Amino acid sequence: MKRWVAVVIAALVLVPLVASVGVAQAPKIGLILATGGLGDRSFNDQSFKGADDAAAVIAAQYGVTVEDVLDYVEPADIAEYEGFQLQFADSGEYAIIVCIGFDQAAPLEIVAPQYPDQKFVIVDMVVIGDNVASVVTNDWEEAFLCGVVAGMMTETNVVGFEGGMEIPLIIGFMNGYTQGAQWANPDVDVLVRYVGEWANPTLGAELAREMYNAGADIIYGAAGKSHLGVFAAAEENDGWYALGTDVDQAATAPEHADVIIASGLKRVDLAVESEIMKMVNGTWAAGIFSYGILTDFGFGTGIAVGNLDVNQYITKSESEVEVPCEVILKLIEAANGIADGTIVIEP
Amino acid sequence: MDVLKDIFTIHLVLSALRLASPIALVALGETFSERVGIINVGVEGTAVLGALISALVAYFTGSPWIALIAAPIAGGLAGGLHALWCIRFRANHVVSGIGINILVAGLALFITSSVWGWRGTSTYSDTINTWYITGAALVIIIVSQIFLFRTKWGLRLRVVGEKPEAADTAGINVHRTRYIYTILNGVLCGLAGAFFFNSVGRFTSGMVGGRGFIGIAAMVIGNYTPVGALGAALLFGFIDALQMRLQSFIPSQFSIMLPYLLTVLVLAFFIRRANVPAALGKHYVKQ
Repeated sequence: MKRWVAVVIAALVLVPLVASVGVAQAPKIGLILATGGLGDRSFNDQSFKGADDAAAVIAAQYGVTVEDVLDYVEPADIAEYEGFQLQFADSGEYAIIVCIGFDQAAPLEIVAPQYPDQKFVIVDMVVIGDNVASVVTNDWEEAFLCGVVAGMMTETNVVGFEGGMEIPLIIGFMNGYTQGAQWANPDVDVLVRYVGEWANPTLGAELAREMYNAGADIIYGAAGKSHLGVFAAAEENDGWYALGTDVDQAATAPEHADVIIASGLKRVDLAVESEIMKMVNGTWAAGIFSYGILTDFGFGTGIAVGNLDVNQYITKSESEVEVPCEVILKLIEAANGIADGTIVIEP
Repeated sequence: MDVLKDIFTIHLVLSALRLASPIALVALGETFSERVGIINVGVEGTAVLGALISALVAYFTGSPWIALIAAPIAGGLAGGLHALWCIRFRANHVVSGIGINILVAGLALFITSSVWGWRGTSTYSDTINTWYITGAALVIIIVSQIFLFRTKWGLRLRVVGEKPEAADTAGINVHRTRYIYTILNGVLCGLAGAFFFNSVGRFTSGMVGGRGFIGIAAMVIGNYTPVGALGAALLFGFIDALQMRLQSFIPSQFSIMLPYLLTVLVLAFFIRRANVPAALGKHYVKQ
């Protein structure tokens, strides 16, 4: 009788134990998006795509569904970041927690040290910690390529740059753009303006009009949603053009495809996927990782222009503006120059 | 001298007019409602609502003109809600106004994400030229100035804000008057919102960006008169347009600050005797 009880107890203990060993747990990904949320056709959607692609690979490996692998949240407000980071980390369920957006850095600096065994990734900002990988991109490279297009295609020899605020991130864009324009066309003048707001296209349009009226015929910028105003202003006059930022904006704002010549690209999707796959392959490490043309990864920035995929940096755009062949050739020269170090960009 | 010639062009004037238009409309609306004794700090949210409804109606009907009619109606409803709260239920005016701002902020996120799947932003729709709205604003302001100070209705509404008991004794329906002009405030803010939408053809939740609050400041600087409000709005618009041009010469951080700094300075040093209506923010209970 005693023996039977022992056997039953042993079975009760062992069976679930063995079962759990038999089916290895798929590593789970926790994704905390930036406040713009999904559907922004930009930063968040791209980050989600990267995480989703990685999740699909993991799911296929472990024979589970993508939903089992990837959990994501869309914070409505900056104040919610810390709560979600704590909640995800505290659950202990996630092999890696990916935080999107520079404004998650401040809460992550508080949360990450509390969970030293939890792997974190932050995109677009640097957080120092033994368990945090910071993903940054060489934004100035996409800006440089846009500058090349502007420098080649301007007819007035004046081009414009519209930034959201004069902060290091945006100054990097501005410097890349200016150097690109002057590399392609030494005679070009670059007007630089800042909106002071990230989500005010009305003001963005007014600032763009000012630069167009001052002689600029192509305007690039990094001003979030305020940049949409540049496209609206460009529509008001023949010969006024604009360049998109981070994603192919001729595709995301198709009504302005007639004025958007090209768009700089920031391949957040590739960077996020790469970080998650490093975790899966066991090569994940804390630290700062730069993605871009001139990095160990060799990818992360580029430009959407023309109607052909030229190489991994120059991909096709939905733009309706005719781009001469010389411009594409010059872009190839520029991308190669950046990659082999003959073109040095001061961000 | 050449630099000055580059800055002070016709484009500077046009830019100032464009930047001033929505502020002037909000300031005019607030002038009406405060003249009858109702403070409405919900003008910011009401303008956001006007822009949102413009985008929504333009998206579903495809007609920017129908959208232009819908925006003031939506604004009027928000004004009506505020009036109901403040007059019927005797809520604190400021609290009710803040409530409208928060309500609209939430509504904007909800509507944009459920209609366009894009949080805080709409897709593009065709627009009308914003100069129509600017032109209308100028006409409305001049008419309002005459209405307020040269007609018996203007006199009545001013009495309601100064001494509601006297108005009541004279047979003026205090509550009805307050309802009418608070709703009118909403209508004008809705029109300001339509200006924001039509300036770029889409809605974003940050596009009003505090211009509604600047409208309240413009009303105070304008000393509760329509033409004064226009002048204050034009001053702000002019400095804002000027700072964009000055960015070539001075750091952007200072430049961007200028219009706001100026507003604070003018409010602090030049407005010695504001004509604040005596019954402003007070509930009127019939004896």
